[in-house]
Amino acid sequence: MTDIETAADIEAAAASWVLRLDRSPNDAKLKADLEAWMKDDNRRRGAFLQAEAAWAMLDQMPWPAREETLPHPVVIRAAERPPHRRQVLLGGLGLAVAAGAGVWALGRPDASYATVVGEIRKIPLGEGSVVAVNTDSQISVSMRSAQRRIRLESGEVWFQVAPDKDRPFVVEAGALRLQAQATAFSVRSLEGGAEILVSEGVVSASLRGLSPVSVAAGEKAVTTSGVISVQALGLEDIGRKLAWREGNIDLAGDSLAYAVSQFNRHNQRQLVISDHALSARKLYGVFHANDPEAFARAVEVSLGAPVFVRADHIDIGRRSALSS
Amino acid sequence: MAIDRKRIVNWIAAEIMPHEKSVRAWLRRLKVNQDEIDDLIQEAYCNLAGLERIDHIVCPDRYFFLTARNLLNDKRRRAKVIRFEGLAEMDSLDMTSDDPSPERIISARREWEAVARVIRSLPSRCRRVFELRKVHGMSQKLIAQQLNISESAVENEGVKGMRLILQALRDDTGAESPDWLQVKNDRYRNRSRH
Repeated sequence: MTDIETAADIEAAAASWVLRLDRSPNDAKLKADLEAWMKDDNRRRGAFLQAEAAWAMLDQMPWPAREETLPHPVVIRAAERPPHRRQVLLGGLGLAVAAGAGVWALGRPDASYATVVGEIRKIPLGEGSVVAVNTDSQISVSMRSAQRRIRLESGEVWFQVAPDKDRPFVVEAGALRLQAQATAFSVRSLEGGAEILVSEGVVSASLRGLSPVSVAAGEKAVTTSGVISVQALGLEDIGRKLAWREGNIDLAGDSLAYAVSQFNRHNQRQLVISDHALSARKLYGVFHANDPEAFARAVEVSLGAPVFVRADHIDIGRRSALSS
Repeated sequence: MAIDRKRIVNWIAAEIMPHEKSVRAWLRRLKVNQDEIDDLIQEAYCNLAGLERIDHIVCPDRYFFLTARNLLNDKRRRAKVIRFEGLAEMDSLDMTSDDPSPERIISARREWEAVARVIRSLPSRCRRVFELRKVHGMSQKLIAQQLNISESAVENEGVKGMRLILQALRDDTGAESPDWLQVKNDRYRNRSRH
């Protein structure tokens, strides 16, 4: 029988194995069966790796835009509110090129993920929730039957939390503890505190020893020196601040100083403002977070500021190359 | 270990698969017949599956070519078939050089585009399964509930889509691969005469 098995037959079987393992990642018998199947023919082992890699490639690649609305619980919820461009951004997540998140990750109870400067990762947690990890960040994930717990060690993350009333979704960042159910929000670790941006639902935030504070969609909360202060920003602003999920920096009247600080988080090649009179100037536009040079060129045109492009940094505002 | 396995799978997806069409085109130029090419490619992946580590592989594309070439050599030696034109071509492909070669510019992006085209053309239920699984990270079980279909149906849709995706990744009817191969072989041939 094996003699007449063609490469195409093997490929079809390998695709089936990948999907079966994806359906039951912890099934030891299935894994043993797979090993037995592969043992008989080297081509089978090769074809399985190929199919697995193709499956992994689907996590790495940007996804084609969707025409139809997804039947995702959160999108259904979002429709209850006035329609808003920012709320449909969910699909754009696929643009965040992620090498993580694979077949093998799902069964493990504990994992940690780290990004380098300029890297953005999307990590499905396996039960419907998705985490987007911003540049230069680190999280640890512990998915238990009683609780889904994520610890932000450094940097910034955004969560789309799938509803599961039996398993609270808890996020810890320093002394801050957040609990959420069917929400979308981001947490950024700051010097001595954290910043929370809520784009959907309500997040319950508490600091050690204090009663929890509710932070609702459109609100920003900042914790500093043991106090949580909540501020209404509006969904539009929150959406802009979360543009990093698609690798963008979205400016709408933000200062040059703010823009530069955002670009510098995403790039080794730093932007430097030499003329501080420019710092408060306002900027508009959506830029690729990983292209500080294009941004600097836009500043050059829109603010009429001189820009000097160097290999390791880009100088905004220096009047002459000689004045250094 | 699962973690290492995952690293290798991700590396294969990002660094090896994008060159599969080039290797196939090269084998075709060596007059290897289609069935034999299909077998050789699967065997080459099998060798890659046995890798314990990958950090020593600086040029994955060359490594892939070399693996396929060695398998082909073995096969031909065993079959005691010596094809003069084939060997000449093989010699012209100097895999030990560290020069950047044209195929290195073939990025994963091109493969992504091919896969994206397949995804876009999938029947809507099949496509939805892939989106819920890969973009939203839902488990197959959750997808079944969401779409109100059985788990087996979800699995079957997945297999159906995967077969089309695998086909797109191997289908080398695109014009670009033979082009650069021509360039590459000429370049190596010229250099070997010096």
